[in-house]
Amino acid sequence: MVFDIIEIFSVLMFFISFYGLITSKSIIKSVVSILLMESAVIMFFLSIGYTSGIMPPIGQNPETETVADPLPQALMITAIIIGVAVVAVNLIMLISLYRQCKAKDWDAAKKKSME
Amino acid sequence: MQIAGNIIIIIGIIFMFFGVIGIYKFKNFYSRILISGQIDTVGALTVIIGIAVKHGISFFSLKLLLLAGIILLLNPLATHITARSARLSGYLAQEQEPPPHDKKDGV
Amino acid sequence: MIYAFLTLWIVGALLIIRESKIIRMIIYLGIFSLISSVCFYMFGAPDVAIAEAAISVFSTVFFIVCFEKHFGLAVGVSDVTPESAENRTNLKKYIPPVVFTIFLFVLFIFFIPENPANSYLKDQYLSLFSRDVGGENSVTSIYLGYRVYDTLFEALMLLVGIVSVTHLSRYCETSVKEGKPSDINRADIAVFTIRVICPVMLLFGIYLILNGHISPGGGFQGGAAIASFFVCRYMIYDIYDIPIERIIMVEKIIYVVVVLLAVLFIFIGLHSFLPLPQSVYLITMNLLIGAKVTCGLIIIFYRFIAFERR
Repeated sequence: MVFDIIEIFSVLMFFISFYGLITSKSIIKSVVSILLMESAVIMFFLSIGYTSGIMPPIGQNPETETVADPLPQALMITAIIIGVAVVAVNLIMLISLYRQCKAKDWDAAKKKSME
Repeated sequence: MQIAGNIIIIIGIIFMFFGVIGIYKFKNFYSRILISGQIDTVGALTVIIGIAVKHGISFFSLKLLLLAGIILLLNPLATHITARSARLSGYLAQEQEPPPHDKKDGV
Repeated sequence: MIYAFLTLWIVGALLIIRESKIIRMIIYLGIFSLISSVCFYMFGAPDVAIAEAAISVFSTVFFIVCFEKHFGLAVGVSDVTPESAENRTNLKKYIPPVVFTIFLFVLFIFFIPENPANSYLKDQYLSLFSRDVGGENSVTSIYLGYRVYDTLFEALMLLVGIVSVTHLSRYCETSVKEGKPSDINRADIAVFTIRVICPVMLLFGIYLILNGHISPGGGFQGGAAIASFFVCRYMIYDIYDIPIERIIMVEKIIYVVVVLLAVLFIFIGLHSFLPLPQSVYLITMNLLIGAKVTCGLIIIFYRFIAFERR
């Protein structure tokens, strides 16, 4: 077994949102699924090395045993900010598509663009 | 101080508990809004004051009181806006005839 | 405790995936972000929790504005057209994707090579950060010191996102100004209360930025908090006097300054020549990054508001 139990939650979450991405008929739900996927990845990075009673890595000389790893946290803050930019770009593309072919779901959009 | 704080926290949790029961008991939207306002404002406020009493006079309880002030300002506003926009968009109370599209998936 | 919250997290995601009404989906999305913020705090990451709480406001607001302007946000609006909504009840169609997803999940769980446990880097960072970069918050020290490349490219990615948003949408200022005044019936209580609460939000954002190097917070979180002040301002006044073009210009200039400062201080080592305390660099970078994030979020928000309607 490679993963801890606490990491399996976020892997499960990733595949739930993957399922949502491949089965969703609507474009809106695809955007939301991408958002959920990002959240799962962030949670996975933070849950690595979790022990109960973990402390935030703040202070001059923290004890390294009970303190969370600061490196994934620093990376994930930037990932969250990029996530909102990704959502914004997705939504703008969604609006442009909707204005062109008045379709909220993939099948109708495909049908409209074939014509 | 500890015991008083615990008692206040328990009172707050009782408020929340009866509020949750009330949400399931009432079927009318406006009654539910009233009850959820009780959970939001009174329950949360009482719990926060209880924690502040438990910690005594310190910087931490000052922060908690600031939080309580913000909750006192904002949560009634949220309840008010929800009820008001429901009224403005034509959602009526149960006694009168509701519009047909609200019957299906209101609340 | 943490397992309970993680279970709630997954249940929230399932609710979002299975929901077919847009407005409920957005409400569930807000609850989901709140739960994940609590989980981040429990994993010992208050910085990430603040960032998620401040940023999830924006993703929710973007969804609301987008759908309110273009799809309609009444209670019953579905996310697909009615023809394909009828196909949903056909359960046989869902079997292949479910099997495929479970197969991938099992494959991912059991068949990846074991990665080496490296606590070496963590010990190194935690013992050396206050000497190398300064400050007391090791997360801020890492993203402004050791891993400053990541921050620079993240800022670049935000800039690219804004450029693509401004490219894909047409901001027609005149049509917005000359359009009919909004007929939204605002509650007086809401206007008054938000007026009272807005300075507190601004103060909180500045507090987060200035104390980013000694306590949880920093440029990203404070920038998002300040930008949410502008969202509130739009909600109570509904005026478009924000000079968008100028803000885009300011943001580009700030990005250049951020890159220059990072190059000067980190790669050349300017603070060894100058008699400055190390926290000056951290506070300046946090301020600039906060200003940049604020500008970016304001631009995206007003683009969504003033997206040209047809």
